Amino acid sequence: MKTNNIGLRISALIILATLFISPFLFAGEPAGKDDLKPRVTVQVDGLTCPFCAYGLEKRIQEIPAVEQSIINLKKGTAELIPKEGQHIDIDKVKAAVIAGGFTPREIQVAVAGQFIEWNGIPALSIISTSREDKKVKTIYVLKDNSQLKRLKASVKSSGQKVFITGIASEAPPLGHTDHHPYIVDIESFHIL
Amino acid sequence: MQIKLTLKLLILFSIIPVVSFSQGPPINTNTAFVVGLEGTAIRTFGKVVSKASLYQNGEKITNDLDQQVTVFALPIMVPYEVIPNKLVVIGVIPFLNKEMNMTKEGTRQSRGDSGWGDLKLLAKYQFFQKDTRSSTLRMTFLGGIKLPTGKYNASDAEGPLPRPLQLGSGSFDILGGPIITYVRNRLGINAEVSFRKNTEADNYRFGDILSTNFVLGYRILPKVYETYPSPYATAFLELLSQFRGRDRENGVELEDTGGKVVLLSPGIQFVLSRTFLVEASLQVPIFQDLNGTQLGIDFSSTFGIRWLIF
Repeated sequence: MKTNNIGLRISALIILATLFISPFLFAGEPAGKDDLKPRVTVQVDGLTCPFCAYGLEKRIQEIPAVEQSIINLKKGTAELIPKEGQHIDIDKVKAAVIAGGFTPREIQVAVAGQFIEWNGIPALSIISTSREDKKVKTIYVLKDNSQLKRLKASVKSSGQKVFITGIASEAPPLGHTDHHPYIVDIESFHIL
Repeated sequence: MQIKLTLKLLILFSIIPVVSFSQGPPINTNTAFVVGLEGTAIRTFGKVVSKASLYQNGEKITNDLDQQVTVFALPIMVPYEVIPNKLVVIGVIPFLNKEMNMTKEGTRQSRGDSGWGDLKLLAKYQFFQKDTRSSTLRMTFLGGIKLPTGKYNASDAEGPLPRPLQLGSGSFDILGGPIITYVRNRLGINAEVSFRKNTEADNYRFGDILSTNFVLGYRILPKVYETYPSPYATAFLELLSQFRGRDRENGVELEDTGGKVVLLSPGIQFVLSRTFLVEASLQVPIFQDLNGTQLGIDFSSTFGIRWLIF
């Protein structure tokens, strides 16, 4: 009887430990091919009528870097897949949603880039190709959270290539210009 | 005497344009949306209005001359998006066939005309929008002008056609009013109020018209709409009310004109692809209080398409 109780306790401890450790074990592990697919997913408020979605689709498709878009009315989301080597500008996504007749909310980015220090803060630097075949650099500031701490601990050197998924929000404008970087609250990452 | 009565009866024709030109995802009522199919899709539909019941002071009486009025309207609407999600201008021109039949001295006689009617230039401006994750509330003002492009002086062997039988009114008229649309998941509600101020042309002025429409729409298929585009069907129930003032000829109010009509309109709409839909509805009168002696609406029906080509 006593032996059974000890066995039960050990089993419970193993299960709890597994549940606790598993997110840490898998967050930095190599991911499936689909998980590393660059994309921007925007939560679109007001997306309730299919006959209106045409305007949204049309505006999204007008963004030069967009290869494919998937509009899901059940989830109220638009998922944008970029063309090979190109990067989708979040400001353009927001503008397209507004012009399409809806309200953009949470924006999730899944993107590959180099982990760098930018003005003394951790950031992701993305080098992409524009429609005119020019190199374009985009910076995402990385928000301080537990995933960033783990990312910092995982990278071997500045410039390490990583793939991150996270929620992007607008940072205050820099100086006297209208230019503002986006801050990404990392949800998961993969070292490439 | 018979001809005079006929002329009076025909005046009820002028109520028809209000019914014919309503538009929007609800079949006979406008929607507050200015995007998607509402922003760019060419729309046309066939509408038949049949009147064969004679009313006197609101009571149905015997139609001795077996008079019947049938109007077929085929409006073509072309919208153009001026400011995305804000302002759309719309041109509407109807092709009309108006026909009146009656039996006089044992002979069935017919009068009428067919051709293009009056052009309407409308602007639709969205002034309020509140979106949540599963709903949207929008408010729009729709207003415009009706131009006298349709023929209004046609005549036949019996002389000039009565003004309500003409294809156009000959007048510049203005119209406008607010529209509210609320959509939550599968349910949509639309409400529209519109006032049309008619002016005089050739000594005749059609009565002003106040229209109020209320619509419930429910997506019947599919139960869960997931990825756009997917085909779907919506059922509508519309309540269409019209209050019309008396017409005036040579400054004199015509007794047998104007009145109140309330129509109940069940309808169905199939959206087959991202750019094409078909729709049909039937309008039956549930209340008619017409001034003097007039023909009332027995039924009207609509069958139409919307095709997005831009």
